[in-house]
Amino acid sequence: MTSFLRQPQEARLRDVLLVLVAAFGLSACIALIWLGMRAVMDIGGACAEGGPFVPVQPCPAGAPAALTLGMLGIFGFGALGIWAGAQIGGGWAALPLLAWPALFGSLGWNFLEYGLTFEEGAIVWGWVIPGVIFILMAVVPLWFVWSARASSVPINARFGLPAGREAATEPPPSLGWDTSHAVREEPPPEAPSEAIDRLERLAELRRRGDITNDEYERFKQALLRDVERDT
Amino acid sequence: MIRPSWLPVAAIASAIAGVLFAVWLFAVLAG
Repeated sequence: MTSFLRQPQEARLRDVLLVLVAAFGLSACIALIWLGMRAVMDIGGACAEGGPFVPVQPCPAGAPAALTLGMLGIFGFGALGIWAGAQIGGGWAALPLLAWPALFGSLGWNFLEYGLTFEEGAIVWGWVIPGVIFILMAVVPLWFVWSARASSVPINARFGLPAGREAATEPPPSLGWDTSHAVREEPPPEAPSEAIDRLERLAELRRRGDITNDEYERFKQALLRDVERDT
Repeated sequence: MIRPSWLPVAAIASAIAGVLFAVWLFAVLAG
């Protein structure tokens, strides 16, 4: 079962600091997008300036910069967090994935809040529907993560992310999911193909009725003893 | 090499600090 705080493995200070920078940057970018979106929704949900058309609705101050910075920054800090987290190991490469539910959950909240209260007494379905979709986009992956707590598949593997350095003696710092399987056991030695051929021939002889079940079992045990002795 | 047992707590603190920074930055951008 999972332990939420385990004795961590050693990690490089540089990687730990980069993970913290990524966490800082990702949440800052999401907050910028959230604030920029609310500023635009405050004036009706759309704005445009310049170009060949008369600016009908100027954008609120700061919103274009905040939205641009936030959307570009998410990718940069996300990549940084995945890379640095992979250096630490223990599923930390998956930390930036939390930005997905954080982003869609917070923007979905905006849609729902404004859709339900923007015009008194009237529900703005054009905002409520994307709000519901965004909330679902946030919650469904979270549910998968939650259900993976005790799974035998590490969280980073579920999303195709690298496992990072494997624990030598102690498990790495944990995000709350079991990483004990990160150290894979050696597969059992395979039976020589010659022995398999002989086993198949034996089974064939029994099917054809050339040898009895007792003889088959005796031959098989002898064959397996030979294989064990050879390996 | 360090043993960052405090990493989960530090990551949460960094995320909160990031939100506060964004609120400050947005106030600056909005003038």
